[in-house]
Amino acid sequence: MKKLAVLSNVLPDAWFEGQGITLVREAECARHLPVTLRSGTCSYLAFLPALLAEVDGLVLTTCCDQMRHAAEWLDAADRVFLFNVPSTLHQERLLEAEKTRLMRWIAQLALRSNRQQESDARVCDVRTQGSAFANTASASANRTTADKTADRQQDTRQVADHGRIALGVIGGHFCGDRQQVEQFFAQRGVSLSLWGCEGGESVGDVAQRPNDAFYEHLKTVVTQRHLAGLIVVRTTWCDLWRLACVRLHEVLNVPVLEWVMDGQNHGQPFPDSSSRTRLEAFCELLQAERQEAP
Amino acid sequence: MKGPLALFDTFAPKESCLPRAYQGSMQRHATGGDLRLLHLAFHLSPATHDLWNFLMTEEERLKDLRRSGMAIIGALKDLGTIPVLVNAYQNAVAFYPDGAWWLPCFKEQRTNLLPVAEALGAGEGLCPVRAMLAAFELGCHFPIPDLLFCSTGAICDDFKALAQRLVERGHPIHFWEMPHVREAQADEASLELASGLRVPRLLCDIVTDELRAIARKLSEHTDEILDEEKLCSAIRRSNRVRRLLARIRASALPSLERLVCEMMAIHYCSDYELCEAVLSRVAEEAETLTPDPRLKPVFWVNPVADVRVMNFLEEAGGRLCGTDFMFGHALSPLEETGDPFDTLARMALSDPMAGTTRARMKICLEEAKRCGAKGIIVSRIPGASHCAFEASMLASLSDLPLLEIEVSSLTDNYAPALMTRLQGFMEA
Repeated sequence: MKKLAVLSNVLPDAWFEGQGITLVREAECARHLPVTLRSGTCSYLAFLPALLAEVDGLVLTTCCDQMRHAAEWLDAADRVFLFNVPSTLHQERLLEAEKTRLMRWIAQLALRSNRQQESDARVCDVRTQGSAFANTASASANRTTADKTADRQQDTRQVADHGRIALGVIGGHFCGDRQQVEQFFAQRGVSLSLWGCEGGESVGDVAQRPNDAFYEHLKTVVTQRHLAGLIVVRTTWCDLWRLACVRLHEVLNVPVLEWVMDGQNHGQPFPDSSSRTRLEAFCELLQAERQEAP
Repeated sequence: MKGPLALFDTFAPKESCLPRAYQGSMQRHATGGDLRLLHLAFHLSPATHDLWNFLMTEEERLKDLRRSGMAIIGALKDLGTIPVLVNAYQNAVAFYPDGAWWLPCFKEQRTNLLPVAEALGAGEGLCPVRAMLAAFELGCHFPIPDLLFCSTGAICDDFKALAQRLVERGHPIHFWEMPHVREAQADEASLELASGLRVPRLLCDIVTDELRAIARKLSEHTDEILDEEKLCSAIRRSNRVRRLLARIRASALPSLERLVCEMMAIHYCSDYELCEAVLSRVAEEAETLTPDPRLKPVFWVNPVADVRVMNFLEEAGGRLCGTDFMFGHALSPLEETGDPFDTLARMALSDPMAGTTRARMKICLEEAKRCGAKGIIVSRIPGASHCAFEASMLASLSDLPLLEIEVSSLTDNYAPALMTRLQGFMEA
C-alpha cells in the first residue's frame, strides 16, 4: 500500500479510492520536525520535508501561491505533484485535465514505488519506520475513502457534546495538533462542532474568485451547526485567510476570532501564552453571550 | 547628468510632445502632494521631463478621457495582456489600478491610503499594492474604472485576496483564469512559447477562451464590434512600444528613468499615442548616452515600491544593465501574424510570475549574463508571496554575486543601512 499525502481539501477523497493508496491529509506538526524557513514563507511549509520523507508522494495545489512555489522548493519533482486548480468556476476542463494527469502520475508513482521496494527490500525504509502515524494509516487503509470522508465530518460533530457551546475552527493548514485544540476547548466547556482546516472537513475553496459562494456556504454551516463562534486559523503570511477572516467578521452573526498559528513553539506545551490568552478570552466571550441570551 | 527637481524644471522642453494641458513645471506635482519628487535625482533632459510629466498627469488625463466619452477599463494584475486588447477599441482606454502601489511612496506616506487599507483588513502583512484597495475606497486618486478585469489563478496571494476584497467593497470584477504555467509532459499536446518553454496546448486554449470572453464584454460595454484586424493593429502598436523599450533597455539611461519607462509597457500609462511619442524621444536621447565606467552593471529583480532606491543604486556605485520587473511578457515582441487571440494568450502564458520560480530565475540569470551584469540584486517586495523563494532559487542557480534587499514604500528610515548594503555589494 503506497502512502500519498494530498494537502488540499479541494481534491476529494473519492478521487483516490481504488488506487491502492493510503491517503494522508495533513502533516503531523506536533511530531514532524520543522525546517528553518526564510522570512515571508508560510510556516506550514516547514513541516513538509519531514512529511515528504514519510510518504511515497505528495500532492499540492495551486490554490495557494505559497504551496505553488513549495512544489518546486521541495525539489523532489518525481514525488511531488502540483495540481493546477482553477480559481474561477467556469474552467471545468482544466480541472478534468488535471485530474486525469494526477491519476496517471499516481499510477506511475505506484509502479515506481513497487520497483524500488523490490530492488531494495532489505533497506530499512525510514518513511514508514515504526511511527504511530504509520500504524494508524495502515489500519485505516482497509476502510473506503467514502468512509473516511464521513469520518472527517463525523469527527467534529461527535465532540459537540450536549450542553456545551459549539465552536467552529476553519482556516488553511494548521501548524499544530488538532487533538490538543479539542482538549483545550473541552476543558473550557466548548466543543468543536466543525474542524474546517485543511485536512479536516471541507468548507469550500477560499481561493476561488469571486468568492461569494464560499461565504454563503459558511453562513449556512454556522446556522445548521448552531455554532456560537468561529475561529479562523492562519499562518502569519497567509493572505487569503487573513482577508477571508475580515469578511467573515462582516457576514457572520456570531463572534469570529483570528488565530495566527505558526507552530513556532514546536515541542513546547500547547498553546503558547499569547494564543492561550486569546483563546481563553474567546471562550469566556462565548460563555458570557450564552448566559445573556434570552 | 542628474539633478534635483528645481534644476530638472530648467530642462523642460521648448517643444513638448505632450498636449499643453499636461506640460509645465514638475514642481507643481510636488506642490500638489507628490513629495517624493523633492527627494529624487532626475536625469536632466527635455525628453525625460516629458516622460515624468506624462507619468504624473495620468489622473488628469484619465479624467479628461472620461469627459470625452472614453470608457476606462481597469486591468488588474495581468501586467500587460488586457491593455493590448482594450487598446483595440476606439472608445476604451486601459488603466492599471495596481499602479496605486506607488502612491504611498510618491505622497511620502502623507496620505491615508495605508491606514484605510489597514482598516479594511489589509495590514502590513500584505504587499504595498494594498494601497490600491484604499484608493478604490477613497475614490480620489484615479477615476473608478467602468469595468474591471482581473487575472486569477497563478497570481500572488496578496493580490488574489485584495481583489476579492474589492468585490466585497462594491467593485464588481470579471475574473479570468490565468493557469499556472508548467512544462508540457511528453504525452501532452503542446506548443512552444517565445522563451522556448513548451507548455500544454490546453493552457493556451483556456486563456484564449478567457480573452475572447473579455472581448465580448468589452464589445457589449463600448458598443463596438472587435474584428481581427483591429486587434492585429493593437498588437502592432504594442510592438512599436516594445521596440522603443528595447532600445531604452539597451541604453545607458539612468536607473530611475529606466524603471519609469519600463512601467509604461504595462498599460502605456493610459494613453497609447502619447506614450509612443514620449518614449520615442526618450529612446533617441538615451541612445546618445554612454555608460559611466565607474558604475558597476547589475541586474535587478522585481520593481521597487520606493522609486528613490533607483537613485541609491547609482549613488552606491551601480547601474542597471538588465531588469526583471515581473512583466517580461509585456516587453518581448508579439507575433503579428496568425490568430491575434492566440498571440495574446501566448503573451499571457509568458508572464514570468505565472510559471515556476526556477524558470523565471533561469531567464534572469541568462539575461544578466547576456547584458554583462557583474551581480544580481533581488529586491523583495514586503509581504509578497513569491518573494520568499526568489533569492534562494537564484542562489542555487547563479554563479554571479547576489544581494537580497527589501524595499518598502518609503525607505527613509533605513536608507543608511540600505546604502551600506548596496555599497558593500558594489565594492565586493
